[in-house]
Amino acid sequence: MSIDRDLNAGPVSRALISVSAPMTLGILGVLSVGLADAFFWRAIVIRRWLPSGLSIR
Amino acid sequence: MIVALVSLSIGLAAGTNAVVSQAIGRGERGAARYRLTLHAMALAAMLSSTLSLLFWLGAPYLFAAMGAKGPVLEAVLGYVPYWCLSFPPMVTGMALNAVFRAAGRSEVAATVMSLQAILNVALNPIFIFGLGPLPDLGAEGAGLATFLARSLAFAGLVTFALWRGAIRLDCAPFQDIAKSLRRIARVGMPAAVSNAINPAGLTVVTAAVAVIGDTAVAGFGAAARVQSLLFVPMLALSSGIGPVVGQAWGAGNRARARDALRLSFGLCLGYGLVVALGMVVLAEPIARVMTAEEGAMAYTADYLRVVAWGFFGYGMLVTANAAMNARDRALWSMGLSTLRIAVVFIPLAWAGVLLLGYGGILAATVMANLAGAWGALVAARAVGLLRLNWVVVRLPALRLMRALPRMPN
Repeated sequence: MSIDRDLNAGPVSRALISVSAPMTLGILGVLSVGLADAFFWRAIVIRRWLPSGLSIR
Repeated sequence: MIVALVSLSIGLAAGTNAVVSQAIGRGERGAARYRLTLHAMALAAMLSSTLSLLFWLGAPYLFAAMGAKGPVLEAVLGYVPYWCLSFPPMVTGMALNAVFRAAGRSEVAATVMSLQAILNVALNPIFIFGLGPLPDLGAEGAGLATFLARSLAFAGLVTFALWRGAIRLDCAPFQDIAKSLRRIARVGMPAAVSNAINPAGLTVVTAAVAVIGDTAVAGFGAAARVQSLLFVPMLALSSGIGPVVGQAWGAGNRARARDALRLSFGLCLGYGLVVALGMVVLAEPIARVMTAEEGAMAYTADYLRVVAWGFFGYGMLVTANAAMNARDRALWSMGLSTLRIAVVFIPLAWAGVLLLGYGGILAATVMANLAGAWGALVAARAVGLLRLNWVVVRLPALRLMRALPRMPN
């Protein structure tokens, strides 16, 4: 498989950081979807139901 | 419910990472490797499709039992079918992402995750509120945006994997399938429980906070959101250590696996201390931004100021869990997470809130994280991922090794 990177070569710190650092961005992306979903669900509730008398806390 | 389902996908990814990274470490190339990738994807697709179907069939009863009715139930049930359709591509994509991560190509996984997030956030307002000829779909629109983002991300990832030769079909794909599935599930199932147990425990602890009142719950919730952001580097480290330990263990280089975990622990400790010191100054300004009312702000600021001193412990726990999963010791990581939540966090939080109020919750959280750090050291020592001879680590580790000599995993 041409995608392999040998993580047993070179200093262990370099291997660890090279795999971990990009994941920071990916995890932030996943968290941002959660935050955006919460915002949009709140917007849906306000837009659809508040005028008809339902309330949110 | 959704958290539990997503935990399954994270568990499967941990199983895939363990099996594939060890295979890479052993130097396995060719058809066997391609089969492993296909088997991991097939397992993810089968399990996620089955769970999606069950969730879709049970959703009306489940949400009604949770108290949803009228237009709220209608909205939720409009969202659920799209979410269920989006679940198999997401989980199967995560399995393929785990293959790239195991091969040391986490930039591929990170790019896919980020692009999927951007797409989802961008499509949300278009389908929820309508744009041009597109109608206003409300909750259904949110579901549709999620489905499209996940499906497109999955299609893009599979195309990339085919182009780079990470997936090949000319490998006798049905050969050894039962063996692969057993190996992945052996790590994946306990890892899924490990991932689900923390949010479940947090729900019980939030119920304890509710004893104090709504303002405390609001403050606690805001602090938990800030905490999840502060944990990101440690979670990234836990994603990164799996492939490093897996490849080293597969190659028989145990010293390198131990070096990686020791370095991870050091990074968690350093980062945790920097955050704790930073919170001395920044807790209040952050709390002011995150909360709408003065009372909740005080709860948020207190949480960040106090609990930050135990953040490093949580980081050590999740990195140790990831390392143990990669070394095929997922039952140990599941046991560690379960003990931290069920034996330390929940009982202490409830006892704390009844005796000391909010201060008791904060003390319980710090103690649970410190206990997590100690448990991580002991478990890592017991499974051969750490050589630390402090009496408080070595003796319990030896006792565990004697008590659980035939633990299969």
